[in-house]
Amino acid sequence: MQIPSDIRLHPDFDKDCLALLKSGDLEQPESLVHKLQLENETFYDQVDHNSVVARLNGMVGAMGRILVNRSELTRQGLRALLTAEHQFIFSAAGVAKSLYASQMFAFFKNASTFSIQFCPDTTPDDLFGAYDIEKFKKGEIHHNVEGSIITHPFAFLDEFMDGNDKLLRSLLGVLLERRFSAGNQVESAILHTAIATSNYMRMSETTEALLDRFLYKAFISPAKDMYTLLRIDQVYNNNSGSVSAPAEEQLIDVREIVAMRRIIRGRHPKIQVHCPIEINYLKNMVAAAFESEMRKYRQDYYLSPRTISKSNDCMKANALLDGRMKVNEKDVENLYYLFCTINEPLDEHRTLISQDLYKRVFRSRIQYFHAILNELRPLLNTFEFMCQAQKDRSLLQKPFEELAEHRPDNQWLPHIVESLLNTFKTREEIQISNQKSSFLKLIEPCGEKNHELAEFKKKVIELIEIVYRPLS
Amino acid sequence: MTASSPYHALFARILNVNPETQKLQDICRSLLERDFEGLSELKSLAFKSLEQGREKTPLPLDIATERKGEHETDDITIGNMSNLIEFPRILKKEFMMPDEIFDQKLLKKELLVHKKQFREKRQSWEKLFEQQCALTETKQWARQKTYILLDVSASTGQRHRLLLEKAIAIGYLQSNLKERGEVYFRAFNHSTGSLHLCQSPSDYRDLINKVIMQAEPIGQTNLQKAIETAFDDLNHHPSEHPAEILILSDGLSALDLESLFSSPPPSKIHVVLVGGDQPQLNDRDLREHFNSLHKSQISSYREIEDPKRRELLLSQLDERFRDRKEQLRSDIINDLKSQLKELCVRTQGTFIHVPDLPQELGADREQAAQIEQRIEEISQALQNPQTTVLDKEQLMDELLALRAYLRELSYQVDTNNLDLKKNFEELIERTGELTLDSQELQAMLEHLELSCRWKSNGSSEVSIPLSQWIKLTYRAIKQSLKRRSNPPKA
Repeated sequence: MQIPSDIRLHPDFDKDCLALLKSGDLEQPESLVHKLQLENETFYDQVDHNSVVARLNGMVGAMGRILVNRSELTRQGLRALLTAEHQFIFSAAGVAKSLYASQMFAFFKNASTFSIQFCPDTTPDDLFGAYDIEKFKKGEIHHNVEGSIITHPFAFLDEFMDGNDKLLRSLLGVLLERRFSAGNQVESAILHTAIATSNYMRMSETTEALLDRFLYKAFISPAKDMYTLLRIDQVYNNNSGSVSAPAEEQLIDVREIVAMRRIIRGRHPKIQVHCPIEINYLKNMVAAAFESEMRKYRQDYYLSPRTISKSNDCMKANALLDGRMKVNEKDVENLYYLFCTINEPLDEHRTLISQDLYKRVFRSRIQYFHAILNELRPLLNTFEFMCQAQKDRSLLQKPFEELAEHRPDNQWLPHIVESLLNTFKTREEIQISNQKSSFLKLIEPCGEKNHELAEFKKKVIELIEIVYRPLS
Repeated sequence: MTASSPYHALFARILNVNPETQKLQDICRSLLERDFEGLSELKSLAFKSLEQGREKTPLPLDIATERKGEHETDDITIGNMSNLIEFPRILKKEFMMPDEIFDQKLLKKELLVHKKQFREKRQSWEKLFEQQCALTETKQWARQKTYILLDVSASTGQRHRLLLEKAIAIGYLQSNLKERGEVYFRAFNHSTGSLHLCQSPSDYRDLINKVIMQAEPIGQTNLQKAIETAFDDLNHHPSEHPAEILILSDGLSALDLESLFSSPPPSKIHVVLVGGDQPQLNDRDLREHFNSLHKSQISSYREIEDPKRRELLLSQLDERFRDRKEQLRSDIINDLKSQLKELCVRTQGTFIHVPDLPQELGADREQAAQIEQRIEEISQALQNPQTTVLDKEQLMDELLALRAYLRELSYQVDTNNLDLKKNFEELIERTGELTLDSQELQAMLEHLELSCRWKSNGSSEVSIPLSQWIKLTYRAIKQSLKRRSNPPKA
């Protein structure tokens, strides 16, 4: 039977259940599967996210005792783990890339890591499992995926660029969609996060496409100053460059990190991280400005809409790690973990690194943002309410007081209405109502002196027209 | 189709060809043919491409673009077989597979073979960064940051000042390839207009055509506020590379330099003073200036105890003021000019004072010769079968604009210069032959759409073909006339 991928995360799966399911001796294997799924769901709902955050933050210090000058890399790795994305690390040889990856994954219990070192003759069988001979004899091509990258939540892909293009192309689907398909065989991968490393760059269309799958990238520049070298000596003398087993209380269950991902993606029934619309606007402004500034150093630098959308997850991860359930400006400032290749030098003197440029762009944009916020807020509040009304036209018929009450089907609507009412209150001359004319009067003075806001206002007006158009 | 006139090439980004566009080129030419102090600096600042006679240089091939290089080596590498001919080069370990699997992989060409072929360039990250970080010409252009402040006060409507400002602004942008970087623009009078930020070719095209060329003169001048706004804008959009501000104004107004330079200025500032409208100075302004020059003297006179002596000295001072009014006026104007110069000197910019052009420029033979040359170029292009329909439409627009401009010029010809007048009339006739007999123009008019836009509480727009509009209007007029001639009986 097809084993659902999520039950593989259950701690009893590997030692007890897998053998039972494979043996075919169970009368009703579906009931075992159902039981494991139910237990997982109960676990996710009961996860104490504050405790997980505390342990994740503790990892930075713990990693710092084993690896020198890797705190930024570790923080980036935490964001990759929280958002279920992948991290790619590149540098010259001998900077403890492999130790970093192994040590990161050592903090997770009930989770094994799939490790592979690529070489030119690495085949898809090495990644996805060998052909099942018995099925093959019957004419069916089927990989035996047990023990492969598909059945592990974590993967360490060493010397990534050594793999040949065909192999790397087959990995694309697993990395992005968590889906392996080969002929008739389609398997869901439980891969949560992969860390890939490389000592050199190999240019091809495939490697470019693959690098795009790794949202979090970092370059490690070997430090040769006396202080750092001495610290490295000390650390090496303590643990000889091998992975150090973390204390029991520091360990994180792999299901806990999956639960955190569900919170970030808005799939937890009770806990959600809220991102106000002003912060989204700021984030988009900063992203556009950063892309524009980066093009002065990297002609073909491109921030895809996918990356900008995924930055919503990164912002929420930033907020959670800071102990908040609401995203604020600081989380936009920390988006450099996503938008930048950490420590990548940009200018001809190698004095300007990517994250420094991002921070400067952020500081300038946030000043401008604060300068226009009063003019922008009515537009954003109106836009947000209109988006809700477009999905549910009945909102236009109900008074704001009713909409401001808690609703189980839309827990953010009261926040949106509250923000809108606060904005209306700053304009005493406008009658507070959800009539079209009230909204138009509210946004009328916006964009008079600012071309960017004037263009945004035009689009909001078009949206208002669409929402208030009578349904045919 | 490229034009032989360098002025035409310089202003080629102006798409809406109308008589004003033609005038812009002529004004530019008139200015650069005059002799005045600052001419060489102006040419260096804004009209380099005319000097060098160069068209836009093609982009150099940057090292960073040569990324997907491949090279042949003697190394043996391993890859998937691409052809059954490669069978002898199959890796030995592949033969250890069960036969059925081996056969299947052989048919699908998934077996690994030794290859002696091109392989992708491998390079260390250090080498890659060295290439990617190298400064290229493209990067240098992309790092340009330019800010234009254009004075559109009412006084710029005189003596073609606004057109001159537009010509210098566009010349500056084009000659220095500023469009490849970031361009900021604000028009200003007593208040500042909206900020236009160009970061792409389409933004730049809109800036030239919809903003700069559409600017109209109105209002008074507040240069201080405009510069402060420009500094604020640049502070909100800082980058690692300093910006250059170009201020085009016709007015002298007081500046508070200490306030402007209270924090380090973000940029290099160039000022082009066009004409130089003298400020309206009344007696009070002159008195204030006089008092500031004689401040200590006035305060010492006021402390004199003897009232008669005090009054005598103060009245002597008053008389001196009355005698020196003109000198004071001249001093104030020079001070204001010095302030503008100081603005440039402190930021290592350039100050240029461009004299006013005559109100009536007149028409001359060289204009006629250039226009004639252009008409011939257009005529040849229209006959060329390779000219596309869109290009023909654009050329027709230009021809109609030239025709209207020629009419304007012919009125400006000195009545004694009959030869020149005849020359212009012949050119008008020539444009008539090319346009009125043109099938392309007739087709364009048939498909031309007239857009009507009205505002209720948003904006609504209706477009109808021009021919339809003409029919509807004609019908409406006909009915109206019919009703008037046959009024309804009571």
